[in-house]
Parts: sequence; C-alpha cells; structure tokens
Amino acid sequence: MQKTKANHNAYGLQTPKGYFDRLEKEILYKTQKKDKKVDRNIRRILVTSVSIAASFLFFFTVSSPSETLIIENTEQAFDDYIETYYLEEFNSYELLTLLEEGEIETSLTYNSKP
Amino acid sequence: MKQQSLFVHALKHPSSREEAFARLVSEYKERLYWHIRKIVLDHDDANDVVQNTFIKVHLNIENFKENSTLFTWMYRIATNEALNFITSKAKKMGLQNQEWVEALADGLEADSYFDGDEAALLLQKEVARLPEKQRIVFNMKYFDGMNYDAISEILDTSVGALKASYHHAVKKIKTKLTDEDPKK
Repeated sequence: MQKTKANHNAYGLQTPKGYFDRLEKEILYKTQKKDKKVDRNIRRILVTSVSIAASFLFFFTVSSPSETLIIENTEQAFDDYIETYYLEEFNSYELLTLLEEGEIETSLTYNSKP
Repeated sequence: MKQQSLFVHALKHPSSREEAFARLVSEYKERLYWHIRKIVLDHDDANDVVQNTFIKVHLNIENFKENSTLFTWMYRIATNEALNFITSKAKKMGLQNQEWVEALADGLEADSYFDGDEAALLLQKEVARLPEKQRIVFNMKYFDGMNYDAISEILDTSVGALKASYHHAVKKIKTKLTDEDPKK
C-alpha cells in the first residue's frame, strides 16, 4: 500500500483524544451492520419470490381446465341442466301443466299430414 | 501492484472481506480524515464525511477495476464526498461554496479543535480564500507532500494544470501573508 507523509499540525487543526480508535470502531460497526442488512434484504426477496411462485402453482393446480370450460359457458350449461332436469323428473302431464294455453296451441298443433 | 491485487481480491471475497476491510480502515483512516478535514475544516463534518467515504468504499469495492491504485481511488472518493458535502451545506445556508468555507475559516478561533497560533490561523484563512481547485491542490501538495502525478490521478487533471494551480495558490498566499505581516 502506498504511503504519503502528512503534515497534519501545520494548520493547527486537532481532533478529540482517542478519536481515531473510536472512528475505526464506528466505521467497522456501520459497515458490518450494512452487510447484515443486505443479507436480510436478500433473504426477504427470496422468501417473497418463493411465496409468489407457490401461490401461482397452487392456483393452477386447483383450477382444472374442465372447470374453466364450464365457467366460460355458464349460460349454456345452465340451460342444459334445466333441460335435463325437466326431461328426467317430469312426466308428460306435468310438462304440459307448465305451458300456458297459447303455447300449447302453437307448440302442440297436431299435423295430420305426414 | 501484485500485492495490491491480492489485497483487493481479499476485500472482494466474502470470506476474507471483513478482515481485509478492517486492515484498510486501520491503514487509511488518519490520512483520509486529514485530507477531508482540510477541505471541510470542521471536525464533526470531517467525521461524517470520512465515515461516508469508508462506507462507499465498502459498498463499491466490487466495482473497483484496479485501473488506478486503491489509495488513489479512495482519495478520489474522499475528495468528491468532501466537495459534495460543502456544496450541500452551503446550499442549505443559501451561500456559495467559497463563502461557506471562508465563514468556517473565520470562525476557527472559536473552534475547540483548533489550537494553532496566529500564523497558523492567518494561513488557514488565506487558504480558505483560494478558489476550490487551488485550495485542494495546495493542501495535497504543500501539506500532504503528494507528487503531481498522484494528485493528477486523484483529481483527474493534467500535471500542467496542477502546477499552474499550485503556482497561483502559493503566489496569492505569499502576497497576502506579506501584506499582513506586522514586522514588514
């Protein structure tokens, strides 16, 4: 390491007694504290990243593609469900009671011609 | 230079970093403190700046490419830190850098960390009246005994310009001190 001679007292400037020993300790304390802070920050970033990755993984695992299809076509699925329910649970008389008179005339008009 | 490379390597390596940095602080703390103190004048200010300088060295050692010596690099950081400190202090007070430094020099008699005689006080005040660059060159050349090549590297200024700065500084101080010499 390069050394220089220094004429410190020429200015009449002084320092408190034992200053340089205290200065050294203070600098080392501050730099070590900064090192620990950097380590803690790295750990925090790592934990956050892993948590986010785990959340995504959980989300994609839980939501299967078939369910997604159902969600996208909710209206169609509901109509299918109603149709199945009526066909399976109701007899023809019960189905007939659900229709209004006007509807019966238009829907069930008997056509004698083949 | 090979010895420096080994030392820089130790500073950069996590396993040896702490020990090497402690050695660095022990080796350079006084020289950097006095270099900074001559620029900022006040002890408490110099204390803040020298600590910031070492923290910057510690944080940026990974970026040190060894294009210059470690000593030069640290001096450059210390000089910049000290000048930035003066700029921010002066700005807060609504003063120019030069005015701030002169005000500090004028208040030296009352400073508990100044015990110079009348001649030292006069010299201090006259150095404070020099333009910033001349003041730093004068400090480094006259008080620290540094050669022009080293100063040139630290201040990133040509040797010729430094010689001119120093020559002007010495001439101004000589003239002022002769004018104010009561024995004259």
